[in-house]
Formats: sequence, C-alpha cells, structure tokens
Amino acid sequence: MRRAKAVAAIALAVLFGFGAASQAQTADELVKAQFVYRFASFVNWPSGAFVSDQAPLRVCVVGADHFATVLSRAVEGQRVGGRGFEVRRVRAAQARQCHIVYASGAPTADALRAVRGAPVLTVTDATTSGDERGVIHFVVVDNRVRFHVDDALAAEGAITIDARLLSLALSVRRRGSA
Amino acid sequence: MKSVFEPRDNRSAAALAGGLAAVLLVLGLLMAVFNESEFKRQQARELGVQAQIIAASVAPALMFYNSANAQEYLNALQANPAISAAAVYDARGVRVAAFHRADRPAPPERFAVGPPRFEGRTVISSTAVERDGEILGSVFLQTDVESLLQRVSRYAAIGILILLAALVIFVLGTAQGALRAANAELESRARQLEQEIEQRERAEEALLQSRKLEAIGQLVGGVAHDFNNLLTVVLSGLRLIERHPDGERRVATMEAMRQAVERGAGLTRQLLAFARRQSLKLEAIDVGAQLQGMRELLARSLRADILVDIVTPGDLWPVKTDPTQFELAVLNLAVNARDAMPKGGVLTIVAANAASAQGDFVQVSVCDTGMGISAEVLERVFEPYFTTKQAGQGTGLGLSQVYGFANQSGGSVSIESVINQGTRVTLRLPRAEEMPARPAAAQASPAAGPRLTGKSVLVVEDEDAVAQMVDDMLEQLGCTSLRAANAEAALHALAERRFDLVFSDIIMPGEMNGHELAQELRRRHPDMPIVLTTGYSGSADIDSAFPVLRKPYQLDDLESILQAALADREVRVAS
Repeated sequence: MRRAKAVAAIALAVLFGFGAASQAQTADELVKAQFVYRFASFVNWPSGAFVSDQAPLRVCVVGADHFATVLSRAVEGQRVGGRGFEVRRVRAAQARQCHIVYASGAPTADALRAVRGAPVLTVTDATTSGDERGVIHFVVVDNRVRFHVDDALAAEGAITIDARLLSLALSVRRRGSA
Repeated sequence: MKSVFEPRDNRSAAALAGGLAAVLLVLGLLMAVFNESEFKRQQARELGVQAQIIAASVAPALMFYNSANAQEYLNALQANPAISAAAVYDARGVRVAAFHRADRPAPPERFAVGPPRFEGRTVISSTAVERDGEILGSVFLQTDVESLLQRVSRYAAIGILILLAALVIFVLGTAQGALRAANAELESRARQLEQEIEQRERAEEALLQSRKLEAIGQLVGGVAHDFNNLLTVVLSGLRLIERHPDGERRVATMEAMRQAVERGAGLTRQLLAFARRQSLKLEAIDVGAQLQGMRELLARSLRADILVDIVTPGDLWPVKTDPTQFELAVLNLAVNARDAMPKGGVLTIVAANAASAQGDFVQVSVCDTGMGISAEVLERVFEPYFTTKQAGQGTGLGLSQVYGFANQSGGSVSIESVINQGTRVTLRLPRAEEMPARPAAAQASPAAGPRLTGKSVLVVEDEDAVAQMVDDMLEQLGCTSLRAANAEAALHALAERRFDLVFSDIIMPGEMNGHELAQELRRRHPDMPIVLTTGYSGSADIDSAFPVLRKPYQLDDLESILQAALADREVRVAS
C-alpha cells in the first residue's frame, strides 16, 4: 500500500513535472515538521506522561521515514518548556510510548487504535493518512499548511490543547461533543 | 516681626516679588521641558509594552504561518485610537499583516527590530516575537505624539496656576511694601505730631506763666493800693488822736481806723480764701437772717446813689455753708454791682428755695441795673486775677472767691448779663439737714459768758510784738497774763504755778507746736481751758479739737472765745 502510494506519487511527479511537485512537497514537509514540534508548546500532558522534568519529549513517526528524517533535522536545538526533542521511527504498536505520534500511510489506523485513551498527541496528514484522523489533522489549503483539531479525542487521552492553538485551527471538534 | 524679606520700600518689594515670580516661571518651564521628555520616554515605554503584548498574542500565528490570524489581532488593535499603524513581520522581516489609519503612511514592507524612535508626529516602537528561544518575527507599532497645541493645552492649567502663584506673590509683596511704607509714614507723622504737641504745650505753659506773672503784678498792685489806703486811714487817725486826745472826734476817728483795719483783715481773708489755704467751716445758717444782717455793711460799702433791696422769704430752708465766706461772697458781688453802676442804680438781693433733681438748694441772686458784661468777658469772669478794673482798682479775686466758695460749699454759681441792662449772679447753696444752731443776730452778744476779770492767762507766743499786743488786750479785759516764748517754757511755767487758761499760738519754733502743747496739757491738766490762735489757716488748724481764734482778731473776738472756753470748763467741772 505504502509502496503503491509512493509509486503513485513518483508517477504523478513524473507526469506533472517532478521538480516542482517534489519541491512543493518538501516545503510542506518542512512546515509540517516545524508545526509538529511547535504544537508541543500548546499542549499539556498529564504529569505522569514524563519520567522527569528534564525528560525529552518523544516524537514518534509511524509509516513516514522521509518525514522522520526531516523532523529529526527540524527539532535539532529546539526546546519546549525546558525539554529537548527525541524523534523515533516506531511501529504502530509502539506508538503508545510516545508523546506525539505522526502517523502516515497504512499503519495510521493501527497507530491511532494503539494510542487510543493514552496521553499521546496524534497527528495525521490528509495527503497520506486517508480518512483516519488524529487529534491534529494536516490539510493544505491555498498552498498553505493548515490543520483541524479534534479536542474531544485529545480529552480521551487526558491531554489539553491551548486555546490559542485552537484559534488557529480550520475546525475544532470540541470536547464533550459526540 | 523681622522677616528675611524686608523690602525697604514699595519698589524693592515689587522687584523681589517679580524676581520670585520669574524664578517660579523658569522652574515651571524647566518642569514642563522635563515633563515633556519624560512624557515622550513614557509614551515610548508604554508603546513598547503594548508591542510586547501584541508579540505574545501573534506568536502562535507566526509559528503556524497564519497571517490571517495575525491580521485579526491587528484589526482588533484598530479599536485603540492612539495607534496609528501596526504590522507583524515574520522571521525574515517580511510583512505578514498590517494596518494603518487613512491619513498615515503604511508600515514598511520589510522591517528589522530596533530601539523606539520618533518620526515627526509619531513614535515607533518594535519588538521581536519569540517563543521558546526561537525568533519568530517582529511587531511594529506606531502611535501619534500629541500635537503642540495638545501639549500646550495640557500644560496650560499648570502654567496658569504658576502664573497665578507668581501674581499672588507679586501682589502680596507689593501690598506688604506699601503697608510698610504707609506704616513708616504714619509713624513719622505721629512723631511729628508729638513734637508739635510738645512745642505747643511748652508755648502754652510759657504763655500761662507770663499771664500768671502779669496777674500777680496786677494783684500786688491792687493789694498794695488797698493797703495803702487803709494804712493812710490808720496813720492819719493816729495823728488825729495824738492832736485831739479826747472828744467826739476821737471816737469817730477810732471807728474809721477800726473799719480800715477790718477791711484790711477782709482783704487778707480774701487772699487766703482764694489761695484755698482757708477751708470752709461749714455750718447750718439762716440765709435770710444773714442777708438782713448785712444791710449796714452793704450800706457802708456801697454809695449813696445805689438803692439796696434785700428780699428774703420767711420760709427759706437753712443752708450748709461758711457764714463768713458767704458774707464775703455777697459783699464781693455787691461791690462788683456798685462798680457796674457808676451813675447809680438798684442792687437787688433775692433769696429763694429751689428744688431740683440734684437736690434742694437755696438760691441767692445778686442783680444790678448796671452796664452789663460783654460775652467774651463773661467767659473769663470766674478766672482768678481776671479783672476789668484798672491796675490798683481791683484784685481780680472777687468773683473767683465767689466761685471757689460756691464750689467748696457743694453748690454752684452762674452769671448772666445783658449789656446796658444789668447783670445777675446766682449762687446755689445746698440745703442743710439740721436747723441753724443759733440765730445769726445772737452771734454779736459778747457779754454772755463768765466774766474774765481777775483770770490768769498763760500766753504762748514766739513773736514779741504780737505777745505785747495780746498782753495789752488781756489787760483791757481785766486779766493778768504771763508770756512764754515756746511750748517748753509754757510747760515749765505751768509746773511753777496755776493758770486759769492757756492761750497759745499754733506755729512756733521748738520741739512742740501749739497742737502738741495743747495735747500735752490736756494730758497733764485735763481741766485746763486751752485756746489756740493762728494766722495761717491750713485745714489742720481748723479741724483742731480745741477752739481756734484766727488772726487778725479784735478784742471782742478774743473776749468771746476766752469766755466760751472758760464756760466750757465750768460745764465740764460741774458735771
């Protein structure tokens, strides 16, 4: 499935001019990488989610190796609330050990299922994750990376999201709503 | 009170106040300048704080490249009228959101954070947008500095206050200076006035003194003239007696001499009464009887062409006064009336009861039909030594004696006059509570007491001439006498032998005067009759516990007082 998508992407790239498409995709990935770690400063994990105050914030990538590389580079030197970042590529089943999980491609549904009810901020991408949606769901509107927020899902995992971040979302599924 | 600011005059006070006002103004100006720059700094600071608040707000928008969200924040800022333009720049310095008011230039496309700066009417402040140590972009804020007019109007209130304060200081300073000047002038005027008053007083004193001297000259002239006349009468009388030692002529001559001496005595009495040496011996008298008894005296004193009319109702109240002084007063008034009627006329003396709010009085009016007295002279008639008579014709003491007598009796005197019609002088004497002790007519009955023949009298007198005269008089009365020159000699004599009576002068050289001698004698010989005599009429002499015979006196006076003293002794011994 994953390979099919990649093949399709390459095929599209070949069809519509590889350079431009690739460039746009890379730019979006960079932005998304920035967004992922920047989300951390607007999210509150329950106290038990970290081993210690200095323990790094673990960002896991499921099913998107390239993005993992981009993200690793993006978080370099970044800190949030005194914590550094640690980027890992994990399988869907291991996603529960992470604070943020970026899920892409086929394992997205597994990954989401695996972390359900855990204090994990799940991030999905409309371009790669299909209909599966995490707490934050990237979309590209007018060539700009935007996102939807499912605050109700966040509440299930006992994590809270700053209102300022909510105000930037295209849509918010409020806590307590069905 | 001395103050640090003590302007000498009005001008320096004004200058000082003006200086103070200027200092105040300069201070006010400095304050305004300081305030102005402080205000600008403050404005820049405030703008910076606002930029920081905006930076914090737009940080998420910049983090997630959401320029619409940033723009929303800036749009919200438009509600603040103080902000004329605002913009948000991303990390590369590219403007991502902005707004500006219609009349203000748009914020620059690209912008880098810098210190606040003033550009014309505006202040620009900027701040970096930071999140977790990452520079996300910057915020640009521009606000209008107040226009000059606004600033001036802001300072106008303070300026007006300062001006007012300066004005108040100026006005107060000027007023204070003016007050001081006025005070100083007032003081100098008061001093000047004081000096003038002093000078005037000195001048008046000098005038009074010269008038007194003039008056004394007149008085001495008058007295000398009168005494000369009297002495002439006595001297010529003596010569006549020498030539015609007997016969009827002698009696008439002696009578003339006696009258002359009486007048001399009257004159000295008048002088003494005027000098107030002789206080009044107040007693209740019957004015009617007293006046009627004066008929003879008046007839002798006045001229034949003057008709005397004395009107005394029978129900007259008794009055409290000195009979001798009363007679003298009436006589003085009569003599004045005589002189006012050189061509003859009528002298009327009327006595009447007069009740008034001040009490009951008996009024005695002496009226003449003479030439009258002019108003200006009328004002001065009661002044001592004042006379309209020629030098040597009057002493100027007549009316002043009347005035003094009336006042000392507790009464009053008034005078009214019409030119060429006459003058009326009215004496008001207070009514006496008690009745007169004896009728005035009874006074002249010397032979009522015990006979003096054969009585021995000790005469205490320091003056040889007087002692000789008293000795002669006592001899005429049939008494034997011994003279002692002073009190000690008298006591000595009394220790040697017995006397029926002691007759002593009051003023004497030696350790004791007459009073003290009398008291000592009363202690040693309680029954010894003592009679004192004096030529000096101080009140102490009159108030004596012993009978006092006033000099000069006649044989009759001496006889009656000695008789009275002996009778008194007899009464005391008998009881």
